[in-house]
Amino acid sequence: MSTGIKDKVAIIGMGCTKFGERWDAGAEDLMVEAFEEAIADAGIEKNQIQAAWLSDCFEEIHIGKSALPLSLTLRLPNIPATRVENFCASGTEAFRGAVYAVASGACDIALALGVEKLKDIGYGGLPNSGSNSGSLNWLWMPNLTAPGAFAQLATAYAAKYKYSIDDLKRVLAHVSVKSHANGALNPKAHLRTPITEDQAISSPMVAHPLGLYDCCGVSDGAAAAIVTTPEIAKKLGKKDLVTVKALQLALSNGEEVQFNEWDSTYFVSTSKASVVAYKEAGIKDPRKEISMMELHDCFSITELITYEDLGISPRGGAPKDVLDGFFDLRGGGVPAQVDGGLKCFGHPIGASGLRMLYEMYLQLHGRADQRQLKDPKLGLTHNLGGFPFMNVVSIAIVGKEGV
Amino acid sequence: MEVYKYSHPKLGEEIEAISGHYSTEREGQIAYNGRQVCYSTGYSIVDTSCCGPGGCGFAFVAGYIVHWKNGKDNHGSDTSDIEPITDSGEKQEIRNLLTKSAHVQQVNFWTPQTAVFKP
Amino acid sequence: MVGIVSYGGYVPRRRLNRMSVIQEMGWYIPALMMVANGERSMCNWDEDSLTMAVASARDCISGFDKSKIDGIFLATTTPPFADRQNAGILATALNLREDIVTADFASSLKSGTTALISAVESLKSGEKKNVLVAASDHRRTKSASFYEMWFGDGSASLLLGNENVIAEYKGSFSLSLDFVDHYRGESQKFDYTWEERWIRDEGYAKIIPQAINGLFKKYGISIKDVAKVVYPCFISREHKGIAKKIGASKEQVVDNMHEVTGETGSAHPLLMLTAALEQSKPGDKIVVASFGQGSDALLFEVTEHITKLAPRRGVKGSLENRKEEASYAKFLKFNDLINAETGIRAEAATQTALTTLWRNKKMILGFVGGKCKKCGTLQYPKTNVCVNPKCNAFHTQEDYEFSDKEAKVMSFTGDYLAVSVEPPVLYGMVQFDGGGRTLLDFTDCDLENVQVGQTMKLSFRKKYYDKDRGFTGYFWKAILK
Repeated sequence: MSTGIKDKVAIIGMGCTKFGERWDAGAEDLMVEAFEEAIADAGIEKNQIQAAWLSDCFEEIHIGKSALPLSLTLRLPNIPATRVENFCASGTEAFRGAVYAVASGACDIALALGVEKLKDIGYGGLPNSGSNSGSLNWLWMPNLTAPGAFAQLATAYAAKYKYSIDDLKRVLAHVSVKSHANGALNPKAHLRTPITEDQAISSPMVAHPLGLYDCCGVSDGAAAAIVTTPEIAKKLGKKDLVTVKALQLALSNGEEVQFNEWDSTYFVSTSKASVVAYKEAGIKDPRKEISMMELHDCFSITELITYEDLGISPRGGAPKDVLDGFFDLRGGGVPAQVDGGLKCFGHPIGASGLRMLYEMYLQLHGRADQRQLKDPKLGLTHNLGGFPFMNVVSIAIVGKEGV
Repeated sequence: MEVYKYSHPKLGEEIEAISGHYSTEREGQIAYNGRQVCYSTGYSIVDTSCCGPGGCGFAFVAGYIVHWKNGKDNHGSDTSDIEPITDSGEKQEIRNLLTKSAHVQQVNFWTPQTAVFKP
Repeated sequence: MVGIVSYGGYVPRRRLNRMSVIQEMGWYIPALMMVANGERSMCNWDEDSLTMAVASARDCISGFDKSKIDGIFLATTTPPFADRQNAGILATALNLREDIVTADFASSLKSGTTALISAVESLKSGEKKNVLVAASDHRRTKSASFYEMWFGDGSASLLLGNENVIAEYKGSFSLSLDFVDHYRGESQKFDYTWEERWIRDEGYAKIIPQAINGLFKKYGISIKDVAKVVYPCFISREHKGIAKKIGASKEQVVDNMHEVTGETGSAHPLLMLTAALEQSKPGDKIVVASFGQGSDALLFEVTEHITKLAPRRGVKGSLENRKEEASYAKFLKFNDLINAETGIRAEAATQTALTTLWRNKKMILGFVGGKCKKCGTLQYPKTNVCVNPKCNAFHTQEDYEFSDKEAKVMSFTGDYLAVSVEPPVLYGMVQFDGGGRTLLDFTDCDLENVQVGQTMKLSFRKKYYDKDRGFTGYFWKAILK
């Protein structure tokens, strides 16, 4: 009988680079920048790390295959290092590897580091893999982009719950305005400009009904976490531990896109992963118990629907919560995208999951400066990679030890 | 039809988003249905979206003019009394007119904040 | 009795208004004005002679038990592959039996009629019972040329057999003459053409009457016995002149379709014949002649069965499904006649894994999915494990053809960011009537005309073109019903 991960592992150090178009930095520079902060924060020596996980997604355009780039860049002491990739959940996957290694007793201290250097391809957007995206996929998969795929989610959601597109756009604008307000308070964010609802509403469409402010962007960045057991953490003199409460992953199996039931108004994977994660963390009423969230707001509509998939808002009820300010930083509900989210950080894929955990970690230690929430206890992070109809979802819950 | 205060956009100001930016360049009026319709045009560049590069020329239609520039909002921008366009047939005809005359690829319509639902 | 059992037609939906060429290029070649009346059909960017052949062939065999087809001949001067049998791709797209004869008839504008004669011969020998002939052309021309104005894109298919014959084959007369009005040497993109006056006076005006009169003489009939005469000639004045030479009245001559499609190359005699069949009554004798390094003239007699042929798109339906294209620039772009920027993003790899294609040929070219033997669930594509969560059985899927199924739009979008010849890219999820769903590109429809719940059908189209290797990838897209 599995007992879950709750309180078996503590985070003792984290680091995160400034995100942005880092013309000044290669992937190696970003890795070093995140690692230096994390190891200083942990207060340990590099040779105390016994295993490492590296995450990135488009390795072909920056570091290449294997975990060697991590080992070489940091000059790790010939320890096991593994590179992982699982779309946008890659960063959380690296974290999961390190956490599971410590929990299993295979090692005492492990490192998870995520990095993505996207601005070395000569054009905007993510790399276009063409026929290198899988020899069979190339022969038949539609020529689709993420905004197009997520726009379909928005139209289907509006139709099911009888919201007019104009009303839904107003809700999405609020989702975006809230994140930008938070990001403006964060010196590590890529974009630090507050916006108004009118600016968001009047912005041109990228894929109807998603406008410019509903879509996330490309950034370079890296983030890192150092984990150990609570016992070792205490021996190292750490207090007010931040421990891992749940780590879950759920992947589509093709039912959404091939079977006849899914109606394109929710994420099957998120809905399933959240139930298992709450069970693992011992959470009964997430709306009351979760203190804050970092969700995968690749599009405003993703964030809106994820509120429901996570059981924070009832089905069809997220728009009301949004307009009530329930997810705002000082709204008295469950603040979301506390650090500004993907809307302000962009999305260096391999780093994003760890960047989200970094904010939860800062908040739980009371180190989030102007964004600091009052006495947060549990933080939830969420990643979604792929498309609404076929995706990889990760959920991590971290919190104060003993909660 | 209800009339709302419409704040005119600042022309030539680059509005930055993580996925790109847009700018409203011109403001104009067209005659439609025996009335004057207020619209603005500009461009958007989607050059930093994680989904690929793009952009377009756009028109943003405020609605029928009831009183032209008869006030200021608290950011100091001019305001007009505007009757928003809600009928889908009217929207389509105005969209066709502007696509041809203003050489834009996209025409969007204003929905005043106070007009939206309270769920 | 051997003859035509059914017909099918396809003309691309887009029609280029010829005045748009004058508008843009009239300053350069003012004489183009002479042929600027009407419109010409133009392939969408994802169409070529093979996709059009699939469309006309599907129209032709709709309602026919295709397992009875023993052979398929494809006639075109613009095959997408110089070496890879194009008729074989056509057969795979139609999901025909494997034990059939397939052949390309190429290199001459008379290849369509020659394929017809060959099909008839193989039926007469008793070797075959039903042979499908598809003719199709998408001829490339230089910008602002007379030929750009004269030509159009299109396809026609005829099913030849010996049961329920709608037009009996009565005989043929062929001429092989190396009259080189135009040619396209190996590795050349465009035809090289000689003086039009010579082509007109020494070519069309002599060779077509010679073939038709030869046919008459061979079978002891005269123009008076014939209800309709079909022959191509893109010079409209000369098309009428030929009628005079063979003694045909205005009513007997079938329109050369200059004003509605332009000349569709090797498909044209068959396309005009199809148009003639659509207006024929039992007992009508029809002569069809081609032109291309000689001529084939064939004689058919329409039977009672023509009144029982199920309704189909044919030429009439194809002409009705039309969208005017006023932008000559689009025509140029679709035909790769201007070097428009595509951006670094479009430089991605475009290779086709031929091993993968071979293993999945039915899925990709034939749009064949699966039906679970255990629970009956339909799915596309066919996979090793049934998609129904209550079943999930291994290795229970049988082939199930989706290409003729209708589907409803579940969700869709117009995507301005995806790389495309003509943004926005339209795609969405469709739900097949009776079960099964998938994501598909949409084509030949405008964003404002697509709605959730709308009925779509499938169309075989170009998916990508690998310009480094000259490989065209094909797949199916959704079009409005």
